[in-house]
Amino acid sequence: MSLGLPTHLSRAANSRALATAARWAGLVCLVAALVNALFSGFGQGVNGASWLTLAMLLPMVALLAVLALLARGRTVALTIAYLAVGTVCTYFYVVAIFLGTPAYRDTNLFVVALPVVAMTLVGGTGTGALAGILWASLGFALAEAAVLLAAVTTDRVFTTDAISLGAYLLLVGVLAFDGLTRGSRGRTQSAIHRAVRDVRLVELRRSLVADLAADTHDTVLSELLALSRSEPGPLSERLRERIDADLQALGRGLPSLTQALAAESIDDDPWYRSDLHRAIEDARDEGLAVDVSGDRSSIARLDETTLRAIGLAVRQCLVNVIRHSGSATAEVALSICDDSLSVMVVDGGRGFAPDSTAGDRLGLRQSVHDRISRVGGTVTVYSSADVGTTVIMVVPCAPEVVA
Amino acid sequence: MNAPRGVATATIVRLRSVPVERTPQRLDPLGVQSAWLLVPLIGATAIGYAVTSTIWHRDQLRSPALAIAAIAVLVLAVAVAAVRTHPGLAPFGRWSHVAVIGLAIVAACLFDASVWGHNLRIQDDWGQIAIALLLIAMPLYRPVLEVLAAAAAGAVVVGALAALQSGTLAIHTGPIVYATVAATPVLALALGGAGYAWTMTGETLRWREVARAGQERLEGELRDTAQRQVAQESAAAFEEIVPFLDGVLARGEITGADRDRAGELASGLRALAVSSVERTWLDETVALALAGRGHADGTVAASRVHDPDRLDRVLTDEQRAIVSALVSTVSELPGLDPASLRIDVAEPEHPSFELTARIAQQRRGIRRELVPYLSALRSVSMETGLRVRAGELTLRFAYPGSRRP
Repeated sequence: MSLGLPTHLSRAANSRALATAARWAGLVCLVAALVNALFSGFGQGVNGASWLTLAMLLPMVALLAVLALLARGRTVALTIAYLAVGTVCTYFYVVAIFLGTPAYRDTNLFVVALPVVAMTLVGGTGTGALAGILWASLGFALAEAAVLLAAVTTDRVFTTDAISLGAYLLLVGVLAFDGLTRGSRGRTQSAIHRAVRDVRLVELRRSLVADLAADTHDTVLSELLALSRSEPGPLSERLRERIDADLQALGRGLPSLTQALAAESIDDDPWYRSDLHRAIEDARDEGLAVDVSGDRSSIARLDETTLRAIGLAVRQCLVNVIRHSGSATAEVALSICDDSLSVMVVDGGRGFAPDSTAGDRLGLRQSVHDRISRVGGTVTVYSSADVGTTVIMVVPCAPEVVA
Repeated sequence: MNAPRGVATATIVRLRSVPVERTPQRLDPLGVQSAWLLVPLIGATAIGYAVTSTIWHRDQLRSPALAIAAIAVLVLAVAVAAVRTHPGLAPFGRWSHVAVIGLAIVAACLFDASVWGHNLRIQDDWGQIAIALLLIAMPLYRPVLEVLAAAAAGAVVVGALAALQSGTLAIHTGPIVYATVAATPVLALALGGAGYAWTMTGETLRWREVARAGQERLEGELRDTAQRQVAQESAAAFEEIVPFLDGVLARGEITGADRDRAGELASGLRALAVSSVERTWLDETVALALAGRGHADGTVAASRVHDPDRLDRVLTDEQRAIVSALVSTVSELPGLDPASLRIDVAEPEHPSFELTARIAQQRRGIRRELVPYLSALRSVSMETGLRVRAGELTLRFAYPGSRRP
């Protein structure tokens, strides 16, 4: 349980939400255009020209409705289809309006602006502010071109209308604002993500302390009380047995702490002190759900330099997951064999071409490949667009010490 | 013995069962805080357009005084929207919403009255645009259905006014066409805003499920950490007991000195068990925050938190996460005197938490650090207050209805 979308997911979500917003608004414009087409014509009621005008818009309405419903799907092809069909529809719609209403002298009309606005509000494809602005500009330009052509066809004067220009500027303004401000939740959110884990840790501690108090009450405490009430002299057989049992239990650990006493304290545990653990905790603070599998104690077999290299390399892998994958989860899997430890970082998000030379992949090459090869290890990257990315790092380690 | 002390179970149930509104303000308060500037910017755009449009209409004005009054009412609507949506005053409630959109509708009516009978075109009037612009941001704060209802009311009013002017306008067409010209911007932008909010909240709810599942998978790791911490802490308590019992066992007899020593150890152990069981969640959270920052100073945590009725049990998981983050952030403030940090909890019916500490730091810096958490607490139905005076920080968060100032 936590508050709000983490920054790395909010960017994509925000783009999709803005695209949906634009499409819903565009649909309202098209519906208004349909109503106008039906009821314009000097109050003569619905006539043939009205139906014709209306029919011109239907393919456009259908495509935009599909787009509005496909907020999460792949929409690039559909968006292109919408723009192409929309341009043609806008042209025929405007021609039909001018043929049906001889009184309209120029294109500065609300009824003409409606499909132009709907074309502008194509909403991008949910891929970011700049892309959104480019898609909106393309839609606006195509629609204006269609209106210009329709004006020429029907011998009317072409003038840009204030409404569609205003809608275009408003959309660009909102997208630009979004591009400048999105994701600025920063430290507050990290602190809350960390606090969600702390809250649970404190709950678990409290229940353990309660169990421990009950255990103590039934064992050591009752024996101490029995001793304090005993008459000086030989220890009774019964009390001796009970004390013996208590001491053995303390050696094994009380039932409430069975698993813990054998292990080292947190401060001495190499896992909790490692850069690897810190890298995972930092990624969790960013809102990435990181699962850790495999034997954590195996990292004790790495020398300090290798352990540090692995920690920093995993940090970079997790940063890559946060920045590029769009995935809400990742897994860090440790596995050890005779003389090597492999650490696998897996995400189920958007992958990439491993040999891509894009700047944002430099981190992977420099921080991961270089670091790991300097300590004599190897890195293998599997990535594909649909399945996500798996980075496998194998580093040499000391052979297991048989006690 | 097992009956809850202090606050009744019924109170816990009552205070925890606050319905959750599906709004970005409630589900993603930090995201909405970062978008606040949008409201004054859009408001300024609406005012700018209203002034420009009024100048365009200067030859059509029947009453310039009404036109100016219309702009004044719009300025008031924008001011209410900008102030009430500010993160420092969250949450933005239903009546603020009604006030903002109501004022914008009144402004639109006043403008129409100022050009009544002389207006040439509906499409360059500013009333519907101003309502529409203010409506864009409302779905960030209010549920989609409420915003759509407000939009429908606005659309009906401006649509009806436009239809009623049809006889005197320059272009002759049916009243329904005029009504759609006026109503379309209102409906389009409100529905656009609603589409945004619905998608965003959907994404947030989906992510919450993923986060919840991730948290569940983390359980083993956290349990391991907790066990080790408790084992480590309890080891100290048994440090003297084990050699004592060993000695008694080895000797096979009890002396008078053994009896006294056993009594001492027993009362020490009992006191420790009682105090550790009595430590509340808030005690532990404060201790964890201060220990994490190296402020552990030997002060027994229980003395820092005064919560005789154990009212911290009322807090939901979500509220606990924010309170925990807040306490941890306070403990990290550079000017804090860690020894002075106290939390006092009172009023079982409407629990009220008051954190006080001595602090040598600029008020502005403290506010910048803490206001996001207070805003988040307000979005989960708590009231908050922050005061920094003469080196004293007082932070209050309480359930509505609390009487403490």
